[in-house]
Amino acid sequence: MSSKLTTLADAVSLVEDGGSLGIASPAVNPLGLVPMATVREIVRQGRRDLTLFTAMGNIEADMLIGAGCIRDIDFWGCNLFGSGTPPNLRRAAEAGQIVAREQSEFSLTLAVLAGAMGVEFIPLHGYRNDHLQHHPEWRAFESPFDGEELVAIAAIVPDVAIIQVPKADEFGNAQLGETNRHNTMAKFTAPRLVQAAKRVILTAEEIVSNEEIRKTPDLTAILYHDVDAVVHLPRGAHPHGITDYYEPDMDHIKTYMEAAQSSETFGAYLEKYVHEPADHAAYLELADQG
Amino acid sequence: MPDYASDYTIDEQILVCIAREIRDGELVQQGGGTALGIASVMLARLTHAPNLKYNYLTSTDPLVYSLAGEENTPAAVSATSLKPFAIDDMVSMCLRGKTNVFTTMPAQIDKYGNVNASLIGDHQHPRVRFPGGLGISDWLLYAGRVNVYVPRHTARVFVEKVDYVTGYGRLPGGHAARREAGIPGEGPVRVFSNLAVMGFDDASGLMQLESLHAGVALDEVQANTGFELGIPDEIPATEPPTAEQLDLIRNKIDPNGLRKARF
Repeated sequence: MSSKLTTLADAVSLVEDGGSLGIASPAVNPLGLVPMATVREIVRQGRRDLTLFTAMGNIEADMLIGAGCIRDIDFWGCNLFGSGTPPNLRRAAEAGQIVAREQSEFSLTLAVLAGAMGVEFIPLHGYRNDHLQHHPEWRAFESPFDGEELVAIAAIVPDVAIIQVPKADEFGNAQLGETNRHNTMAKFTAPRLVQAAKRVILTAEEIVSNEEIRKTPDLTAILYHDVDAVVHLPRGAHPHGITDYYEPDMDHIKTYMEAAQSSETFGAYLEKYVHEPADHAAYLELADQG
Repeated sequence: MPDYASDYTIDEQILVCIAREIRDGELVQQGGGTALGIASVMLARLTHAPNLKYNYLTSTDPLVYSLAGEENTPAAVSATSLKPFAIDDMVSMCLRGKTNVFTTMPAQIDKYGNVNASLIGDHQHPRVRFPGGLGISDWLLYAGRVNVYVPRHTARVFVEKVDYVTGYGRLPGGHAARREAGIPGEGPVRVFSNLAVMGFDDASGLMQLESLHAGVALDEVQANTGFELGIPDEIPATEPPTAEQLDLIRNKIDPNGLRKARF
């Protein structure tokens, strides 16, 4: 195992224009593992034409869309803290600026699982809805066993996956935390997406020793060989929360929501909170001023 | 003769209707997005279906009987459950036919029971982009039966053809025809609106009226439905809530009225 500790700016250079990005955002908030600092750095570096794979998007998806980084999004839903379709996503989709391709919980779960297993597809039987029209990569075929008509749900293999975790060592072995022991939603989706992706940027609240990881191996969810870059980023999920570390910053989320209502005010928000702060620490200082 | 209540609201009528659809011993899938849906499961378990099990948030069968306060935090739900489940658990149990009932509230439903929770208008330039269908697509195919509810019965919700099929509806020939098409579940079985209860004709697959809620006239339902609704020869009144059901809803399950969110 070799150390993968690096800076956020260097890590984000793994994300290339026109590539695909997977965000490990578990469906259930606030038990998020949302890599917001990485998202801000992607915006700061001005990435374009990305395809975004996410299950249940929130501010991270909405910010990338509002900043013009996204060409299309493949998702099962986006709901900003239960307040409905995120404003930038809604505006961009309705204006035809992005392609919002929906798929279902089952298809996306199986597509990521297929990616993690290194197989091209996993079949679903009797799968019918209008999602099929917008996923030409899915193919109908007959089961070689009994002739049943199946739909091949193509594997999702993002070029880069990004995730914020509570604890990691310098090699990329990561744990989701004691409370997340019960958050099996996160336990499945995040590690599978990490396994499916070609490259992985892992940001962590705490960098601990390898000996520390080995004391509670049942909490380890991600292994070193799937990780390409490790960045120490306390409060890297802000304004989302990380269970047992900090709660979501509802004041800032309100600020975000208000700013996102128009592209002008959102542009000002990005300028103030994403482009102007020199780094993550400067962002946090600014955000804490309210 | 049960002790029927006379003083109740429409959300309570719908909640009770949905609870009555759940049979004892069944496994119910219910997302966190609809308080009324969760309340209906709690009500069924506290009354006629004490042995039902349900998937709520990320737990199988939490011993939670109230939407109020401390009892309903994610930690509390997890701590009283049989098992916290991962999404692959949820997918596999449903694909193997273990999940009996699901309830959903779409933006549109058409005469065949196709539901739309995705968008209004054209896919490339939608007039309205909704948050997205999540698992609705899946439950309408793979759960045993699906209840649909609509807080405001209008011709914009009950449409001839949905703009986008998030969840697949009925076929002429009913459950048998869906089975033949390789779809395991029965799909939408009943639709509960603020005006009436609708079902589907097995032979044609088309939506038809089953009962009218108290004080609602037939022409009011027809005027607010964007397609020709099947009308039976005799139209019964919807069975109202009982005094016991109402007491449980108001004083135990949902004292803060979360069920009224969309009404």
